[in-house]
Amino acid sequence: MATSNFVLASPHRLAGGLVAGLGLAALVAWALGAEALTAIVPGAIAMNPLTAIGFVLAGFAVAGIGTSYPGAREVALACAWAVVAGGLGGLVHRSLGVGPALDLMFFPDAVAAATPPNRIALGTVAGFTLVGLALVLAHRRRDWPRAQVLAILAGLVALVTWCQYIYAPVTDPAPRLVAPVALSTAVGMALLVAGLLVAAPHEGVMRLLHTGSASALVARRLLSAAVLVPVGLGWLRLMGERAGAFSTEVGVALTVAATAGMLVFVVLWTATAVDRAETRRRDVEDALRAHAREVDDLYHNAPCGYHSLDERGMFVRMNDTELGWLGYARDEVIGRLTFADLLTPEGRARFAETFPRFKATGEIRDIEFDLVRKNGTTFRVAINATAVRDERARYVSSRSTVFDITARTEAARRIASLNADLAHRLGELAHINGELEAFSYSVSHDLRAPLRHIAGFASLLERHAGTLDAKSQHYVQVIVESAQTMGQLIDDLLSFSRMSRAEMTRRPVALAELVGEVRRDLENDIDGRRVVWRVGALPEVHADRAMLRVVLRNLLQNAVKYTRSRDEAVIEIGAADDDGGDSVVFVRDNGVGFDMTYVDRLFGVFQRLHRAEEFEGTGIGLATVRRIVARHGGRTWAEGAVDRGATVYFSIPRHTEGA
Amino acid sequence: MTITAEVRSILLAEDNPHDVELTQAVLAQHHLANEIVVVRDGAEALDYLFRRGPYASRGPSLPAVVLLDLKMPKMDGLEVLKALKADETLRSIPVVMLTSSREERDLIESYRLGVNAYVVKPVDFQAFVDAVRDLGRFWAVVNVPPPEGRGA
Repeated sequence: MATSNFVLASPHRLAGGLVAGLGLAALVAWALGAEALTAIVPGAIAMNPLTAIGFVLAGFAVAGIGTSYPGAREVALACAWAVVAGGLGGLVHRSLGVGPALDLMFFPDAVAAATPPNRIALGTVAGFTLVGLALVLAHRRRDWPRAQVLAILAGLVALVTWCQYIYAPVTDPAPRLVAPVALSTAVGMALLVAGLLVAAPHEGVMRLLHTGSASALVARRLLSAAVLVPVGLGWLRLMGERAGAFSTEVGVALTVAATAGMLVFVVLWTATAVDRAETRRRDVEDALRAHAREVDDLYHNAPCGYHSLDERGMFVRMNDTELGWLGYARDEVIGRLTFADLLTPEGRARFAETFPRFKATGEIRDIEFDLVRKNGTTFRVAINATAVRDERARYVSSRSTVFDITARTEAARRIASLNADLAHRLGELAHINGELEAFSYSVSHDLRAPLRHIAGFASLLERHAGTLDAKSQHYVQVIVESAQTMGQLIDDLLSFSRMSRAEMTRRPVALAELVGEVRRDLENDIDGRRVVWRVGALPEVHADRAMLRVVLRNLLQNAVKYTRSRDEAVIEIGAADDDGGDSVVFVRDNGVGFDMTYVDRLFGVFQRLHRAEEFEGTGIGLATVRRIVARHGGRTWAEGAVDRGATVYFSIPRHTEGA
Repeated sequence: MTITAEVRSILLAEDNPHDVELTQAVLAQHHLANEIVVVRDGAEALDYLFRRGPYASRGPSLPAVVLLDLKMPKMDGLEVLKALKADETLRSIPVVMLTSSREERDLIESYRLGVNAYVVKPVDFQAFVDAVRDLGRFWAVVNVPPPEGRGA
């Protein structure tokens, strides 16, 4: 498995191996005196032993291309040099007659015994010289372009031999050169050339055949045509002439015309293919240009600034947006200014500290700087950047985004200032509340004492009844009652103020249960009167229980009070849900009612719609109700008519699960 | 039931002369035989109770009850209450806060310091009479004090 992969991945190894094997086989044949076998076809020329040695060496050298076995490269190179030496030596001897006859040195008797004597062909030594040089170049310098050109030349030399075998019978030595090339040698040479050419398919001229582009396709097709068509034409001509179908002149003319025709066809076909490829390339280029323009537009007209700094902090790029902010032209900045040049002294110190850190870590987040415009004004920015690094991870430049955060900074400053203001006001408010509390406290304590004295001493005076006449007794009585009324007023007012200030603790409150409690409290007020209560379904609300109790007590107390004149008082309590999360609760009575003209006064402090001698009260109850409901986020309102009863409504948040 | 035949006093700490007069009038009207001792501020109340200053020479008997006004000059009722309840001997004397204030925090603070009763002086005179009379009767006559010199 590993071996087949090895061979498939490197077909040149297979070619080299085959060639070396061929050479070895030929040598064995010579040694056994069966050299005639190397001619392949009976009667043809055998392979010279020198050629066989050349194949063994060159085969090793080809197979050794790209090897990583220790020492193998050196051996392969030595083989290549040996091939060059042998080839050159043979070439010199065979063409100029100078130097030793290397081809006669191995198996000399057998070689000399052949008829004609088995001399190495000029084509063979020329081929070995070219192949040997190509191998040296490939091994020593990896100079594939030259090595491949030499290999192609060797291939052309081999082609001459091949053509000879195609155009004349294999056994007919007549038309051949001085010493003909053996058929087996032609095979071996072709394999060597092929091995050299496929050894590095992605280097030199071979790369042109492998790019997968249009040019590779054209080259592959043209190459086969360039070799096969002339060979075929030549063969046809030769056959025609030999058959006497036409004379030599006509044969040449036909060959020329056919060759010209083929070339014209090839040129036109190639031109078409190239044109098609060109068009496609232009389309791709247009698309690329459009994309580049788009990217360019994104870069330059982005809503944030972009720039790049080299390792000195010098600008190498900046987009139009940032240039616009700064008021500079591009050529005033690129390669001329460093980032530090745009900073305040304070920012420059910070940059000197952050820039080396950035180059080391490759990232920086939300660093804020004040940038100085060309006109000297500044604006606040937040910088984010990542580093561009080369293949050895060295810093090349930055990709920096610049956000103008002047508005944000200003907003943050204003929020801070508003917060400070708010805190100050809260402090003031707490102070005022404290004073208010102190005031309430002294009202509660200090104002009640003299009232108590007035009432107290007036009462003591009353007990000396004998000394007072009826009128004086009445006066004393008024003094006592007035003091009591004022005491009640003070108590109600304090309660009202306490309801405004007290902390609320909201909990789920079952309204029905609370109404029941308040009704029990009011039993003394009813005192034998006939009162019909109609209590509907009441919801659970989200409220401060103690405060809500004050609300209900006030409303029910009012209902009881203002129905006093009825034979049968009817007091209705109900609730309904509104569209929001509130419940609307109402208390309706069939009492004396009120004039809707004065409905606005109903909920005011000390506002009364009835005379004190009709209905007692301080005029604070409904004001307290409104205050408490408002603190729960609800509303209060009332409907009524004189002598037709009154309905007071209030809304309060419903209790919902999870509230 | 052993009722002490000894007449024990009521200590009234009150800065307002009118309130003193009213309270005295009510107690007298209802023949509460106890001797009413009136002090006019918190410091004087403590002088009396600890037998020091002008009261250094008085007898060792303790009052049956102390009626304390909350707001007084020099030292208020809460401070007197605190000093009283901190003393091993005096802590057994019942203390009643008698005040105009309905403020909840005063109420809470008084009970925290161990007051025995908290009475808001009503504006209504009859109610005031009832309150003072009941206080006098309960604490000075009905209530059984702990044996002299020992804690409650």
